[in-house]
Amino acid sequence: MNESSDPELVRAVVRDRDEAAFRVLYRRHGGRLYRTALRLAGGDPAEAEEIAHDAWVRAVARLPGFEWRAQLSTWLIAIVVNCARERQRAAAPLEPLDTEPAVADRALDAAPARIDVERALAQLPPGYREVVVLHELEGFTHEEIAELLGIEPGTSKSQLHHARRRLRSLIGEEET
Amino acid sequence: MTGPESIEPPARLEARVLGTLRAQGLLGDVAPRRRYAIAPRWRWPLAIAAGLLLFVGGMAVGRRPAPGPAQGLRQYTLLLYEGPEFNAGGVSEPALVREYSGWAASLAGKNRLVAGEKLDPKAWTLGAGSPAPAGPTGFFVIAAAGDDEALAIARTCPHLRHGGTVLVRPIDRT
Repeated sequence: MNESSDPELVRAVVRDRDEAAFRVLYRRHGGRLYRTALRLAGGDPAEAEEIAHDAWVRAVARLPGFEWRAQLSTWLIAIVVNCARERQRAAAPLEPLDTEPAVADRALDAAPARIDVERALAQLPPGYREVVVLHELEGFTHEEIAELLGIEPGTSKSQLHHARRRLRSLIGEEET
Repeated sequence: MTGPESIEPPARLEARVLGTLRAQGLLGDVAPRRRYAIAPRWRWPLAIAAGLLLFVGGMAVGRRPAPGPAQGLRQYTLLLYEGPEFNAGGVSEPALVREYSGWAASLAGKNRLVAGEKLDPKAWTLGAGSPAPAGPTGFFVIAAAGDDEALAIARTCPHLRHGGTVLVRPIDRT
């Protein structure tokens, strides 16, 4: 079963509720899914676990309707992004995408003496962080990100530009 | 930019996901296996208990610690009984499993669920005393700040809504 394709495994899960098939899918895609959740959670492992858990449960529930218009891995990442967004909304309203969020300023003020890229990423506001994670780390195009996040491709590019500038600022301040 | 690609999900996450998926009937068998002739009156509790077992199995390996005396809570058993009037409304098995699992999940979210198990209808009565009455078909162990809270929780158990009976008994740790 380990050699089975994603469509074969998905069919087994949907048709037979096949746990062994699901385990193969989980081990094939679970690492990437969790790492994406971890980055979207700003490096918080407990929050990442909640996001990943919710994403897997939602994905399996929706597998019967999955139409293979995208790769399974892409579809799973989209669900992770949505789960992360929902949890962030529940915790606090998202900042508008095109503004400089106050939360980032507070994060800057509180920045520790040394910082690395992952920690700087964690300090980005959620809207910026999503685009950086999806484009720089997951390799999605702006068109794909636009579809995933329900925004225009131009907005994705703009967000990435702002996010990079913010990251450089975060890292640069710590190096000086 | 490079990231910590070596980071793997915690091992417990897979078990937790599997537990939730089983509890929701998305993986594995949730209906009773009818290898043997089962009296109709046992089918409902078996289906429900299977769902409970699967759900709690998932919770047991989840990251939420089970509440206990260290948190100032006392543990209570909720013993589930059913009679001929149970589920007179004819609710479907999957719907019952989802309802019970959802209730258990809400308790777990409040750190009030310790355990839940199905009980096999097979039973033995030992000893010279009076014959035992029909036993429970399943049970929960919950945690509560006291008798009032335990009873309040028990009153929300869906088993009552379906004509079942719930016997609440504190666990005696003396």
